[in-house]
Amino acid sequence: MSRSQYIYIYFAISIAFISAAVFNSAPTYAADARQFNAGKIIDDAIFTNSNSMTVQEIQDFFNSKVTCDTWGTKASELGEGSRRQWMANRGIYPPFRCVSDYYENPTTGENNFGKTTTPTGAISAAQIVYNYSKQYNINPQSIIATLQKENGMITDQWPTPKQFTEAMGFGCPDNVAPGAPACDPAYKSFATQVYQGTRHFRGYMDNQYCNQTWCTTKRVGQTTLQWNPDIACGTSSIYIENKATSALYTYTPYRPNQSALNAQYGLGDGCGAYGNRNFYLYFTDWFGSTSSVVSVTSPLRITGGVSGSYFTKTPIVVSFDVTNVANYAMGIGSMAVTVRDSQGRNFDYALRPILVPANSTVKYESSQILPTEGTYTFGIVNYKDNAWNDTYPSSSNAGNARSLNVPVIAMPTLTSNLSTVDDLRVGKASPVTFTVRNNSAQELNLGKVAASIRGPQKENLDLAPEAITLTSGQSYVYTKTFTPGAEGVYALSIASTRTNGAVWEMNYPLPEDNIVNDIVRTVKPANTITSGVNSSTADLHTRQATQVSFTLKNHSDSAIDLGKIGLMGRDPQGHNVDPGVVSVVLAAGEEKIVSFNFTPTVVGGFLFATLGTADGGKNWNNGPISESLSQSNSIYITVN
Amino acid sequence: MPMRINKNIHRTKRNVIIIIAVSLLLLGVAGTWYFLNNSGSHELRENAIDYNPPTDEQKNAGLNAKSEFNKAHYDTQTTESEDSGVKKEVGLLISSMNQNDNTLTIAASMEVLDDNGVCNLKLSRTGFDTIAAQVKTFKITTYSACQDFNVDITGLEKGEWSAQVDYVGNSAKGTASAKVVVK
Repeated sequence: MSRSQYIYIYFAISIAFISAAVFNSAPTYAADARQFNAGKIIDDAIFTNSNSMTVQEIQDFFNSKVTCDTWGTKASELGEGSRRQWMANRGIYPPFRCVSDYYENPTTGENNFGKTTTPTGAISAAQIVYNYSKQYNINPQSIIATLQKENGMITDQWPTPKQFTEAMGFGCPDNVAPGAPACDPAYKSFATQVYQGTRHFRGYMDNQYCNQTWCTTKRVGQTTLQWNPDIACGTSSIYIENKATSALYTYTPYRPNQSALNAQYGLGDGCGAYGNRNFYLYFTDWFGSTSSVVSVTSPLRITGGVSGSYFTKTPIVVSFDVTNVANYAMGIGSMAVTVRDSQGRNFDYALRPILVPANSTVKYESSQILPTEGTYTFGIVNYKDNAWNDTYPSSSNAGNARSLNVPVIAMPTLTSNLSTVDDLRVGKASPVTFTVRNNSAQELNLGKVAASIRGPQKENLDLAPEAITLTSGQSYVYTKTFTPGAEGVYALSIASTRTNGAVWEMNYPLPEDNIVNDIVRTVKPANTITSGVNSSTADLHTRQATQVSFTLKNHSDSAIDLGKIGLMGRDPQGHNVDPGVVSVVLAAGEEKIVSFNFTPTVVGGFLFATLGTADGGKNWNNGPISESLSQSNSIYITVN
Repeated sequence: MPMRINKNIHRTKRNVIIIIAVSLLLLGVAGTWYFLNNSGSHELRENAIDYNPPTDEQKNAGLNAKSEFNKAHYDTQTTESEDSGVKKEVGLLISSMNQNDNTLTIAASMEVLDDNGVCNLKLSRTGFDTIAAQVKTFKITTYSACQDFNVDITGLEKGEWSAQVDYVGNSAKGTASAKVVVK
């Protein structure tokens, strides 16, 4: 290849690698102050994520942001020669300390500034930030951004002692009354500053009022904010959307104006304020977005109970939605719903890894049965980076419940089978019965309970419901009578309602082991042939009289007029030898023999079969059916 | 003739090389595109610790804060000014007025640290009796607030009222007023 050809290839490979290297490197996120959301500076979940950094990570972060000019050898940015000279002019002498190598005893305030040794009991600034972050459940990154926005502590290579002792700006008013100190001396140490600042962040979030014991001035809701400590700069009315923003504005009660936002990290006009803007910028640049692209977009839902009440022995289903508004997929670790009973015992639902595709919503859903009666606390929880977090991802709507207290009642049970007689008859009242028991330690209103019956045409034949309230351990025997109106197959089950009929439940009360709560019965006709057609003479000869008879029974609870009942008779040649018909009325429960005389005149086989008519003889049928196959409605008699 | 043959071979080689070069370029772009759309590194957006040295912008903003801080704490004499007996006029802000059921809550804050002052509220309307209330002040991080005025508005005429809050402390005072609509 020629030299130019090598150059082509070299150029192409270089472009390919460079483009891949540039685009594939970890994304950088330069904050844009114009994206500052005045009503929601930072999500509650992010502001309070105390698991975001370990002590070592905080220390590493400090180390990455500052190289301390311990001896002040570099030129002072504030004039007056070297940094050492500037300090000396104010009575401050090296070794100077930065946030990366500052140690302080939190109890005494004794520290290593100006010293070559570390005082007894002193801990690092990173440890102090970490400790109070954990104590008050505030993100250490929120503390770090505050330290930087107050006096530039994090990037300062030669901070003054007062920058440490007033590090969080706590107790240092923007306007000082005559004779008053610039800062409240009660908070004069780095640890006290971090402690108070963090404690107040937590306090402002948790106490949205102002009285003798606590005071949060910029509460969630509509509020008025000054643009600047100079009240002549005017005010703006904004809606504070969440508690973290309430805490930040209560801490630093100024809203950056447009000139401050347009200036990014720089200075705006005379009415600009930079505290909250810089908090946003530093946080975003150093730790990522202040608002989650993934959020919980539904309340914690608990379903699967019985009409809004929850019972043991029946699945309780929990669910919630997680939405990703980014145009890329987001893995957020794993999610679960924690459950604790009143003794703090763990009944957590399944922990499931959650990957939310771009611009999508996924639903977490899990089901389990809680074993014992009691009040349980359910809560959405995230597990990521070996840490549990009950505020991440944050809720898109502050009104969406993430935690619920739910009473779970011992499931009432069915302690005897749903039963009725085996021989159900049309028109005959039969008992339907079952027994329920309250297993709760408390009195329980079970609602209304009934035997549900569906007829052969699926028609609703439900028996009357009973409203049942039982004391602890009490049982109730439900007994109703059922009178079928037609033959056919009937399905019986137990139905109950806790909503006065709006919703009917089919598995409440729950059957105990080997107890059935649904049965099927075939309803037979009210009247049948209980003894089949028979001849009184076994060996019949011509001209010998005999009686051909059968027995009918009315199984129902009322009299039945069967109309005309008879016997059809045919001789060996098929000639009509019908013995006759009679009108039959059977009283309730009556069994009656219907009998006809017959004298054959020829030898051979004679057939006799029952007859019936429902219309006075216009149309004839086979009459009542037989109770069983052995009770035939016909007979073949051989005459000798 | 031999010269022409050489030229063709030369051209073919060049075309092959160009194809390889373009292919490599496309491969790089495609790889980048795939990475940006599938990489889990996007997760870092929500909690990415930047261990890079601070940018000049960040350092300068920090230096501004440091400069302002040290000017106030080392180079000004506010801590040593004497109390002349004249109360300093400070900004007082009525920050919220919220009505819940029969209670009107008025919040106000002032640009001074003081937890020994008092705040007085006057709620007035022409033709009606003025309603007055007094609360103490409470120190916040860098300023103070009047404890909430919780005014029972049962029976109060609906419509617009004038609210005036006056703060008086040992060394400072302030006043603010606003209109409030009783619903």
